[in-house]
Amino acid sequence: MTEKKQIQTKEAQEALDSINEMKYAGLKRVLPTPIWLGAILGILIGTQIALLGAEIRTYNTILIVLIVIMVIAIINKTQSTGVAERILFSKRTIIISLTCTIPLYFLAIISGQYLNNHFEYNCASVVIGFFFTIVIWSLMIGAYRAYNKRLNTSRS
Amino acid sequence: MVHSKFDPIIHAPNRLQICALLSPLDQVEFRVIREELDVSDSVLSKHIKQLEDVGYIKQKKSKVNGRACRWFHLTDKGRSAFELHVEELKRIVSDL
Repeated sequence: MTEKKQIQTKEAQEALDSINEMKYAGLKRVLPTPIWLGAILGILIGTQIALLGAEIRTYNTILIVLIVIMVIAIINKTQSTGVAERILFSKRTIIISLTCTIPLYFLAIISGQYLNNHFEYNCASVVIGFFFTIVIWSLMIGAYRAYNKRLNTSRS
Repeated sequence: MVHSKFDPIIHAPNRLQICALLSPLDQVEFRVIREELDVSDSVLSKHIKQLEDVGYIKQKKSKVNGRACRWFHLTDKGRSAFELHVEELKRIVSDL
């Protein structure tokens, strides 16, 4: 092997090392939404579904305000880090997911109201609300684990 | 079919680091790139302009907490060029 070739290979290896280092530095700056923040958001949305399902609207405004504050806090936290994580889903997938999620939210409330009114099954709305809390919390944990996996892959 | 391509515009150390930093992320603020590369504003602006001129990165201006920020992201063309460049580097290393 010629000396020129060895230098070229060494330079390429250094460039690859530098790339990995920067990728890791970038990912390290993306702070995932803490699990506890996801849990609180899940509990708030679950409680709102449970209360609306039981046709208790007294605390609805307070809950909506709290949910909006939580969402703004999460967005603001992301922006203050100076980096935004790359969303691996396509725009089409996100639109389809949102189109499915929003009707599901209203369906959950209507189901709770229906079960309460027709079968006098008072726990139904609580169970549905609890189910939504678990789903939201699971999604947050999934995102947290996916982030850690990407970070570890980049480090190795 | 081309699997790798050496890109002299990307290969310069600072520009390579900029592309590497942007590649796993959606967008990155100017301040963060400067901190990670440990270069001055003028040096960074020069490299960013070169990458913008060939259409590899794009910038977006916004305000965070009342502060004007410049966010940068890799375009599809830039991402593709960067990936091909990385493949070429890997090919060179594997030829050892």
